[in-house]
Amino acid sequence: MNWLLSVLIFLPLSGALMIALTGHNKTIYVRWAALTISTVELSIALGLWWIASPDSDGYLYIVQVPWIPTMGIQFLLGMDGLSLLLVLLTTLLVPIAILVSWRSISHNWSTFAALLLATQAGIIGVFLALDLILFYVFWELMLVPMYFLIGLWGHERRLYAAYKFFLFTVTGSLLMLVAILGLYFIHGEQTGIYTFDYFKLLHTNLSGDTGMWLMLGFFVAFAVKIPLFPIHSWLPDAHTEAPTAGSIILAGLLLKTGAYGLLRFCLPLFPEASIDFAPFAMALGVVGILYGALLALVQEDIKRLIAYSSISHLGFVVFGIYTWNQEGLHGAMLLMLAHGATTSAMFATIGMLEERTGTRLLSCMGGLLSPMPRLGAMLLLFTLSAMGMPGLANFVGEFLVLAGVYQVSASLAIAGAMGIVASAIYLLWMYQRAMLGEQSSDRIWVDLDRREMLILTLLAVTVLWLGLYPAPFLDYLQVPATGIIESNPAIMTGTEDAFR
Amino acid sequence: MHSADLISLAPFIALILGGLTILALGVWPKPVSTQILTMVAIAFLFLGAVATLFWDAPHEVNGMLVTDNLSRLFTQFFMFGTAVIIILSSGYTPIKNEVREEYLSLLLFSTLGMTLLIASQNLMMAFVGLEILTVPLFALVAWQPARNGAIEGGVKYALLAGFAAAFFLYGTALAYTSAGTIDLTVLGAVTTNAELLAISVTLILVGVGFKLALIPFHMWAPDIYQAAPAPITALFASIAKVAALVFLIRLLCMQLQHIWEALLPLIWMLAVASMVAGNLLALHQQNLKRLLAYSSIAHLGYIFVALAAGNSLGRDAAIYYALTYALMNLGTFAVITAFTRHDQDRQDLEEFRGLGRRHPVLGIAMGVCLLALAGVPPTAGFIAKLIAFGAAIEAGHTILAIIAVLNTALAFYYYLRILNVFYDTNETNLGAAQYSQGTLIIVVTITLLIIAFGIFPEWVLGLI
Repeated sequence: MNWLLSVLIFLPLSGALMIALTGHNKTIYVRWAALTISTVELSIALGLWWIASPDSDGYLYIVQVPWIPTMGIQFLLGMDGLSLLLVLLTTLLVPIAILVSWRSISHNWSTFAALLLATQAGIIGVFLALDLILFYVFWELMLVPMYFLIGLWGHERRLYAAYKFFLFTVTGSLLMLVAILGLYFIHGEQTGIYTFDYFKLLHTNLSGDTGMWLMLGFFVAFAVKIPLFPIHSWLPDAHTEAPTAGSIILAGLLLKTGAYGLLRFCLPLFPEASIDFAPFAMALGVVGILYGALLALVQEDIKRLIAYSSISHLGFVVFGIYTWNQEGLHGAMLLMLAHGATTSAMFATIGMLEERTGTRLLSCMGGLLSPMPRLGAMLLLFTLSAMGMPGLANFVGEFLVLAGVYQVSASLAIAGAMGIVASAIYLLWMYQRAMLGEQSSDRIWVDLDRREMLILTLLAVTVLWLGLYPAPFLDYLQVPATGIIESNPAIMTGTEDAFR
Repeated sequence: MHSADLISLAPFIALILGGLTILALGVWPKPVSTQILTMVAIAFLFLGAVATLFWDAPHEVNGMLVTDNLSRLFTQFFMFGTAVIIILSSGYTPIKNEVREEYLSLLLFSTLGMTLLIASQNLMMAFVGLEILTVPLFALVAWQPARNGAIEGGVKYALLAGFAAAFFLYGTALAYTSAGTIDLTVLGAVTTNAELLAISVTLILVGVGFKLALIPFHMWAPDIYQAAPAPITALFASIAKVAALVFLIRLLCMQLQHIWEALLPLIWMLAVASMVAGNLLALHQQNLKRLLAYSSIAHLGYIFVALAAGNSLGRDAAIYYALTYALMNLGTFAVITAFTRHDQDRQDLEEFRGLGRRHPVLGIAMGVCLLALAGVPPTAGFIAKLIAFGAAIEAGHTILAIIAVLNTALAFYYYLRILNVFYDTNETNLGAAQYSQGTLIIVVTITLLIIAFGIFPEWVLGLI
């Protein structure tokens, strides 16, 4: 079954190539081809989920092929519980992004679909790659098509947003490349084995300063993607200007790659440096939570509001990751999934709303619940999930993160909880201004059609499932979380209290 | 002269014979069609490339030329590059009826200069190669003198090339003064008079630096890139520069290791200045050919980052980077050649607006070439940067590597700017492009090579 990992990456890639070369001016064919490919992807991912046992130690699936042996670069893919769930999320959101764009993308469908599938290949590659150079290749691979998705199909200020997105992320990732090379040569000098293999690099001896610099190189790349305060400023622009499908991919998946990078690479590769850095990272996380929430309070543009709320939620993820305990890590991982589902659903709903109203400004909306009850009900469900309503997706993750943080520092947990309070305020206020109150115009509104209901129902089921019965997901997170906790040197030497 | 010598000299002889044959065909009593002339030129290039396969490397000819794996790889590559330029020229409408015996023979002689330069074992030989390479270019820049700026470009290049030659000769003379020899291997073994030798190599570096358009010797590059017809610009931007570069790699990394240390600060400065200034100047440039001139300057800066490392990885990186750099520029200028208007090149970026949508194959090719120049995986440009920066980090030049990656990030801005224009929804009112089948084949081949070398870099690295 291991070869299926390569299929997951190369199927969308070859599909993208095929569509780009043959799909000129054949919109209907392109749409269905892209949808078919992404559905096949989803079924492969579901199949992998079905046959994998959550209790097995280490990696569920591994693919290892030499690529550039003279430099120790391999084609090394591995899937553990965390990557499995994130791949599942990716394969779910891409068909949704295609369905969302069914009507709203009016020109150049072939290029659009090709870029979307290429992005998918890059994201799945990022979640699977365990060779650092391969990881970097996929990291860049998802960036370029995303740039064009924003830059070619976005809204008014799309070029500005696309440049900003690209330059921020590429600067971060190039610094990571330097850190990767640094780690490679240090490991090579110590052991005589020059390799980019993740498993071999895990146990590199790094002196204090070197380790810290290398860790920072990785951290910058991931922090830009997450995004952490103060390098978050690309996100509101990119999310707002991107087409709906782009926003779904950005918020649902690209932000997760940053958090995934922290979990997979930053902590296990540089445990000592990460412990020293944990207080700063948590401080950045809490600043992000509060700053994102405060800015979300004052937004007029509804997509921008959700974008700032993403900064706030991802602050929780970072928060949870750096607590480095069972609850915090589980919470962070679960919140990644929950945020992916909830926020993409929000962006999808808002995209549908925007198609109908022609505006993203809250001040131009109002009273839309009664003419469009189905859309209003769906938006309510996702809004409640985003603000952490018990029984819905985000609650479990946020609760676990706070429980984890509380063990480390009560005051930080209280500060984080303030973020949840603020999220209730801005989200409910948003809902009130958009959906309730006086109707601003006496246009004839069309409620959701079957395609749109299908999209939102799929996402609603996911959100409810994550909220009501997260156990099947948490089972798979057990092994990865334990692995990360075991990499904590403070715990291994029995000085856990000193760390706390 | 042994038969082995003759085999070693065969590619050079093929080029000379080729140039002379084409000239002779020009004075043939019956008119010879352009097509036949082109075919003859390409046939001789192919013969020369095949002849390199019979070299038993490494072999030294009379202390003048050395035929090793490096010179074999690049001799073949120059033959390929020249063939590409000939095909591009024959499909290039502004000089359509002027790609005749003079043009083709000048190209072949220029290629001869390149191959001599990279194979030279002796500074005098290198100088001869450099001049054979340069002199035909004066004429080629000014081809079709009635064009706007043609004469100006030719004269400018001739003057600066004269300066460069003077520096080079002066360096050679000083090397002879300090060591009593100008044979590279012998120079590498000499340890007395190291300071004087360092100064002489610095002067040679200045001479070559002019050819490479390093900052601060770059002033000619944008003007010449703009003035020359697109196929000739392609020649300048790719193989002509690489020839000088490979000579430098041979000089600094393989022969004069001990001098390299004395020159390290200078190489550092040249690398940083070229990267930073090249990228900054390219940032807001509106003329595509000038923009690519500045981007070339920045790329030479990255190559110097690899040279500064001075380790074996740095040498491999510089060689690999040189090859892919030439390939990427050939590809980019091939697309520009394809997009030419019937009387002159498109210059301003505005004149390319929306063409990527109208011509999907050329658009994708331009995308691949520019992203490769920017260093996006999985293209050859990425592997080149990876090895180059890796070499710098291995040598402990972390600061230099960080400056280089920040510059790489900055450069993304202008490469993406070009692509944005290419894929804009509006379209230029200058009309679509008409290009020949040959040009299209060249563009596709080079694009595929760029991707293939990126996925299988060992195809090249194994040959070094």
